[in-house]
Amino acid sequence: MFNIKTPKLILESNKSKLLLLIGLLFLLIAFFFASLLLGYIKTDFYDLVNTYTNYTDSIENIVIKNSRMPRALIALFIGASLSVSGLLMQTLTKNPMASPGLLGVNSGAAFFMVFAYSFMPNLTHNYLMISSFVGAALAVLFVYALAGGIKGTIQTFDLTLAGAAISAIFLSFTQMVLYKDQKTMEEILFWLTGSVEGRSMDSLVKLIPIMLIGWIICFLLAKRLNLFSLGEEIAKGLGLNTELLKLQIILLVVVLAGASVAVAGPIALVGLIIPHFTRFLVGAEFKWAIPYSIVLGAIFLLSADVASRFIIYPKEIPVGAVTAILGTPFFIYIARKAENK
Amino acid sequence: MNISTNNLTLGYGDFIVLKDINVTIPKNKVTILVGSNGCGKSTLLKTMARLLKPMSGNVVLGDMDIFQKPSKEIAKELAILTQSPDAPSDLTVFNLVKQGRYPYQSWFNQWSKEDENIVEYALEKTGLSSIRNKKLSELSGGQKQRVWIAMTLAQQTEIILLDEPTNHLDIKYKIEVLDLLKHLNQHEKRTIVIVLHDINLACRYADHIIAIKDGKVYAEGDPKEIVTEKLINDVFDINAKIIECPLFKTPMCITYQNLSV
Repeated sequence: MFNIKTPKLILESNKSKLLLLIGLLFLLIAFFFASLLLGYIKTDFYDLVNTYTNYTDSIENIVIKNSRMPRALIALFIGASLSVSGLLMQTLTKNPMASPGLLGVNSGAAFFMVFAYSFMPNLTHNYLMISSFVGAALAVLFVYALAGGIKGTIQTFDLTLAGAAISAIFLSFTQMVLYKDQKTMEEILFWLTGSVEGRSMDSLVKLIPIMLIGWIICFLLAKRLNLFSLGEEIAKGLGLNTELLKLQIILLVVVLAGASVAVAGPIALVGLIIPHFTRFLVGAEFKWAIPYSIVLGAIFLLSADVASRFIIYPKEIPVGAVTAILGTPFFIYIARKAENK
Repeated sequence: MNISTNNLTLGYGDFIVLKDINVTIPKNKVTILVGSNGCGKSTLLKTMARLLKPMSGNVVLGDMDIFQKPSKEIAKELAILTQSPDAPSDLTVFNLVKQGRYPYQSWFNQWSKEDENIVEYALEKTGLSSIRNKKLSELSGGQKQRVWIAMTLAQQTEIILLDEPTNHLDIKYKIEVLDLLKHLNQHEKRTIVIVLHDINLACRYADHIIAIKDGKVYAEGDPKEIVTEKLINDVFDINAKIIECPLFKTPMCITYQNLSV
């Protein structure tokens, strides 16, 4: 790709980025297995192999198949998707504090979830998920319209303001419902903090292909995202259709973050911290930033989920609480490092 | 490729900034737009580069309305450098200049040897070859501006528009940047349009000046012919004495408010 005239540094650093990425993939696999094997019920590698070759109704087999496998897959896919959506949001708004929640995804999903749970208690889990996804999408639609999307030009600053306003409205609606209906509050608290526990395999089967497609589209947009990060006017001047790209970014965030929230609730900080860590490691080029944020996001949520089983052992705490505990000091460290550069 | 405007009216919301502007940018010349703050010279430049939509009228590039042409095609004929752009600070010089090749790439046309050579040329022209792997955060203001100019060079366009390319630069770098643009004009026959604050530098570097006042073109032409004490007074609202620059033989304005303070 590069001729001899270009000094070796670039090639080498590309090589080192690739090597580190492969290393991280192994770490990801390690955490995936840890998530399958560690927990209140002791299991070992033999149980895992047994579950998928010679299934019996032993407690170990049941736990691995019905609880830990879906849980590990959810943590992997949602961690990755939240982190990529965070990267997209920070690129879209040029705001380092942006995360998917800024578009109203979390508050919209939360309100629809709480509303459906409170007023239609007979809904199955799948329908609850769908309704909260609809809530996420609807909130983003409002934000998009308020920021000028319908007229055809979105101002990213207006997007931030509209996001904050819409989030506040949905949050107050949610609180009203919860205040009226204390029973719902108790039952839904786990979801509201963010949790990957207790989800079924069949809701996952629909989720995984959607998220994979989302990631692939991100990869296809990598070059355009590079251009967009030079500033909107420069990107436009180079012939990029920036309005179309902004719409594509928003749709991707709706799909990736909206689906994540619908399944696991608003898990804090993944979409904020991991993109920073990614840039810290590999810089701003999206062909690296995208795979790194996918892998790092997955590792972060998998490890947080494993930790959530042991912090107040034998009880579990919601993974959203763990990401906040693990993430905050880490975030401060990265932010200060970046400042000193 | 010619660029001209046709009864162009520009503004924001209901507010009209420029009305019925008809200008033709002379080919292979350096044109400099001057005027006081907020007169609309940057707005005019951005509209000529299709970054802003006019309220009415049109911009004609070659023989077509600029808004009828695919944006990527325009980017092969016309490059624009907007005012103090802001790229991620960990981007390297090479990786930023490389972005100038975007209009030439597509799914079927990935990065080629030719693209590589053109980026090399752009780096060489702007004297950046030796610092190609430095990050933007490690560069001085003057170097950074040269990187952006290199990016527009990599675009390989006949026309280059620049909005205040010397803003915030030390005088040494101001001259350096303007010399580079003049060099590109003289040795590569590029048509260059610059928005510039400094009337004396404008007189020195421009073949053609367009002075804007009260939403209209006040005067346009060779600075030696049009830059008069009256023009300075009307356009910039300041008194001036005009002498001939001893070095470049161009008009030089000594501006003042009162002769005794």
